[in-house]
Amino acid sequence: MLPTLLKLTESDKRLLIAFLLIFILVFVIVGAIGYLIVRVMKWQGKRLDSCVSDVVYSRVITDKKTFSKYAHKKNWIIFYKAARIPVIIMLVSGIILVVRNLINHDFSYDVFNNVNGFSTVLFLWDFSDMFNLDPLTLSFTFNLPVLTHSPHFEIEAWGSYLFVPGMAVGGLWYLWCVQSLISRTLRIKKLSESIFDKNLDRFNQNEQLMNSLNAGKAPLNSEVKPTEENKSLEN
Amino acid sequence: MESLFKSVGKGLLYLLVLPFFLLVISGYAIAGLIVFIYLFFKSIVLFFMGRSLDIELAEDKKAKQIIQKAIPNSSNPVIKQDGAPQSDASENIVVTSSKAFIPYEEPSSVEEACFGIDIESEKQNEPVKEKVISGTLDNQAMEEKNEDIETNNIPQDDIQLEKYSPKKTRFDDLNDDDYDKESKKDSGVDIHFKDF
Repeated sequence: MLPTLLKLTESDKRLLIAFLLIFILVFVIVGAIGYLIVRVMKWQGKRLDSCVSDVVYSRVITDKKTFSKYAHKKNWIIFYKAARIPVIIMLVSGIILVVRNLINHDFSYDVFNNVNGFSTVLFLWDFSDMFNLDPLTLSFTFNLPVLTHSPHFEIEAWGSYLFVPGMAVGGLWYLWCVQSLISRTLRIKKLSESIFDKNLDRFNQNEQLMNSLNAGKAPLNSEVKPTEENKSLEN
Repeated sequence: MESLFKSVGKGLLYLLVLPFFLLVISGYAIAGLIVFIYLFFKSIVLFFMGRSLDIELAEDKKAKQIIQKAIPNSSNPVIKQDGAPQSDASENIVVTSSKAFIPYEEPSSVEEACFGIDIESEKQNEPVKEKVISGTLDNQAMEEKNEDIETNNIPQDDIQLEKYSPKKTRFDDLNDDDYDKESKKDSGVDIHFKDF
């Protein structure tokens, strides 16, 4: 490995370092996006608390199983209420496409074609000749992608103009609702374990007893500061 | 540098977890769609029955009722003294009228001993405290004060000793019908604990 690296020219080493930096940068960006998703999911999960807090505070529900059942039921209703709008958007988009196909009697219509589809309003590049590696000479060439299509409006593509953005917006909105559903589900699991938890980690019966016996001597919640008078008394 | 490596590590971890996350999200999306269709038809049925798919369940209504009932009684909430020490009847602190001798260094009640000195009650006790320290409140002065009370025709019932139980909370006091009458009187030391 090391002799191979030593044989590399200075430009090859620079290229290798550049690729390594790009590699690290990609991981850092992915890590940042992942961190953001985790934070968003925590925020989404916290919103469940306001919905289930009353029954917990008033002690209507006093066990883990009932709480889990109740919270899941509520979670699905919240999801249903939240997902209505994106589902309607997607349904309307789908209906528009069906109507367009019925009008044109064309059920093999590709919504993403660049003649009368959504791609008419997009930039299109040809990436086929971007990287060229000649196996005989081992020469590597890099070419910029060639622009093949410039955006323009086509009247015939009206169905795709309404269908694709509608489905994209509705789909992303729906996925947001699904992510909220997952976040709330995780929150329910966490809460059902923590609310009814009987933890004895910080409980000391002897300490409690001693505190009750010494109740009249000194305040439990106030720390006695060592003053000079106290020190003299101790001595 | 350390944080950069952490970010890179997290990025690698998230890339590995990403397929599973997408699998879970697509699974939930399909399940969500099925539940959505079920709830949609359920809401239609409920609509024709004159009801609606409400987010408020039976448990919520019950909780709401309990909270509604609790609100009038909890205008001045007092934390339940679960951790307070149990005291016998003999240990009850006797609180007298404004002429009472209240020791300076000793805690005036078990609550004060347990939860610290109440600032408001401390303020009320200040004049008494000064008298005790200066030593001006001797027996003669006490007799003079008693004579003043007699001359002012204050009923003897009002200056009778009040027995205060440390177990008694302010919440109980609020439920007591006599509380308002007692609190209106100027005589007596108010030892109600307002801050816990």
